[in-house]
Amino acid sequence: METIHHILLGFKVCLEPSNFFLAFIGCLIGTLVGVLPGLGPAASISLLLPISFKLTPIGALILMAGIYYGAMYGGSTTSILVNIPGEAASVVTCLDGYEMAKQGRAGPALGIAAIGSFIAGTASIIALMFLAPPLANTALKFGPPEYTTLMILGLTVLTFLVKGSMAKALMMAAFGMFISTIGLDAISGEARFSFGRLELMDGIGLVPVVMGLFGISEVFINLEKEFRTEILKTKIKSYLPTKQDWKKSYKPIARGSLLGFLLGILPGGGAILSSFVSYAVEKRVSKYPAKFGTGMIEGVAGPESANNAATGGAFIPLLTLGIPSNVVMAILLGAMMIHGIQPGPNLIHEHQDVFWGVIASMYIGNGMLLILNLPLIPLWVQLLKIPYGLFFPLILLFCLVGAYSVSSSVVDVLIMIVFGVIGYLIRKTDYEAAPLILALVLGNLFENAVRQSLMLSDGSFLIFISRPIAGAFLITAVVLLVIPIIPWSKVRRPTVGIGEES
Amino acid sequence: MNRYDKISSLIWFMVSIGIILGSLNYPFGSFSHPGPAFLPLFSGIVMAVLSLIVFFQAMQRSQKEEKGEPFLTNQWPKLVAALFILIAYSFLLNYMGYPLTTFIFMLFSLKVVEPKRWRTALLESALAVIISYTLFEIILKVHLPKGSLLKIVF
Repeated sequence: METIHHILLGFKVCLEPSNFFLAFIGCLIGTLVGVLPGLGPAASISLLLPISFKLTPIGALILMAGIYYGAMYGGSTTSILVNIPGEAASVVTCLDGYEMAKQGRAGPALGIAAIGSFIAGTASIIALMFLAPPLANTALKFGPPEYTTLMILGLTVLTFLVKGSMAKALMMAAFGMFISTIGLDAISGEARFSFGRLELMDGIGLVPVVMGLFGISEVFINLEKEFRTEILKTKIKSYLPTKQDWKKSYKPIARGSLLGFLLGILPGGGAILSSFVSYAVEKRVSKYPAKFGTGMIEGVAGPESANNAATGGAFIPLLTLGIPSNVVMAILLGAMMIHGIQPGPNLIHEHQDVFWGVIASMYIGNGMLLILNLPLIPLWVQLLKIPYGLFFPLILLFCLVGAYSVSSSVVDVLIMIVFGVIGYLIRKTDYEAAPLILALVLGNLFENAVRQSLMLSDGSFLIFISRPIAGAFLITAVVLLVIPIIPWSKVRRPTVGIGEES
Repeated sequence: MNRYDKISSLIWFMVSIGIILGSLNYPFGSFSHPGPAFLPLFSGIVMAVLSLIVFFQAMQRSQKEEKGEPFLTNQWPKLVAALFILIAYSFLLNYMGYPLTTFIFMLFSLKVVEPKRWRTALLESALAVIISYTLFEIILKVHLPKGSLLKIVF
């Protein structure tokens, strides 16, 4: 009952004209970002971080959340029509979606993707709404040791799930930790690694790093490639799936929703993993597994629902514990801190309007997306025809102005460029940027938590094991670290490009 | 895996040694009151160990498995040009002011990095300057540089 009262408060906040408008803009940009290959939700949220400073905290979060789940709607469009995933969480949709399009069934494919996304997205928000408050209450019992080990677990899970070498991913995380130490140390006042430069005393900000690693480096990588997109010249007659389609799709949608939500909660999980797992599950339970890849609508309904449900789940660790579960959440965490909102179990109580306002905006956003998506598809298709050569200078310009605007300083722009080059080199040599970002965001929190824990225990590291919850987190993290090393372990790491969530 | 692992891991190893040495400049404190050197040193050590692991893993792999692509594609001039104009932008911005620097940046990107026709380039550059100036300076009140050099001249 209390929940109903809260959600009504949330709607009141969200229906304020400025917030409502931001939800709309977020969904629009999100869909656009999802449709366009080469620009993902992490990159675009990073690009908008500087602008978000001018907004209220609620407004900024509504905007960014809208981009995140909006991108999951948009991604399916190009997967189905052009066989190019607009973003990594829609890769599996290409497999059967494009086949359906070739068979003249692009309309129903797009339709079921949108409808499935809506159902799954809404379901996951409902779950979020009911689960978050009790989880936050449990988390109130967490102390510094629990936070330390939870962060270690989060980083470990993320590195476990990356495509390449776990050692490389962990190295990036360590590097990210190091970068977070640059600047004035809060506890001792010592200026670390600032080389006497005033600008570095405040540390290296999240914004230039993220814009460099995801924005600038992405442009460099894309300039090397040559895109040629051939858009399927089908006429899309109707978006409505037939009764047959519905019968086949409702179970995949239900399964996808549940799966996506659970995998979204897992730190390091996320939309990409959910879509892959959903496809695998649908293939497993289907009566005709061999037909997957030839235009089975289940192969579209399941994964598209899963990736949307994952966005709801992904908010749980962030809003209840203050721990981001993936790169996008890490950037949102950074944004919240910049706006003066301390994430953690107290968020729900101290910033009720923020929490419930964002949740209400997600309901509204999903509704907007369902309406927006289908009629605007012809427009998105036209946009795909814009050559990258006309587009990339705008992205770069956006990054330049964005980085500058953080503190009206050219130094931030230069830092961004440096990280752009680093990001380019990292990607060419198969290292992952995501653990670096996560570690950078968590770095200061982590350091404080460790130091407080050691002060509590008077120097003993045993505190991380002797306290049961902390011990459980730590042991799980150690298990994940050890699994790839044991040669006879039958557990295979899922080889999913988690770092590509950008 | 990647054929550049040996080189990249050694470079990262050297970076981590730099970090370790750097962090020794700051007080370590005690285990019950960790000082500022604590996290940088720890990160540096972890990086060093991991980079060595990657190096030895790379040593153990057979040469046949490696990807055959060269590191830089034949598009590398575009990247150098893009990098150049980005850096140039940073330095010119405060001297020449936002509108002029941005126009030059856009024109360079559209003619040198990925060449387009003059008509397209000029049009898009002009539009970009006008729209971005409106968006950032006027609507969002970001306060973009006016240009110290221009103030002297005009």
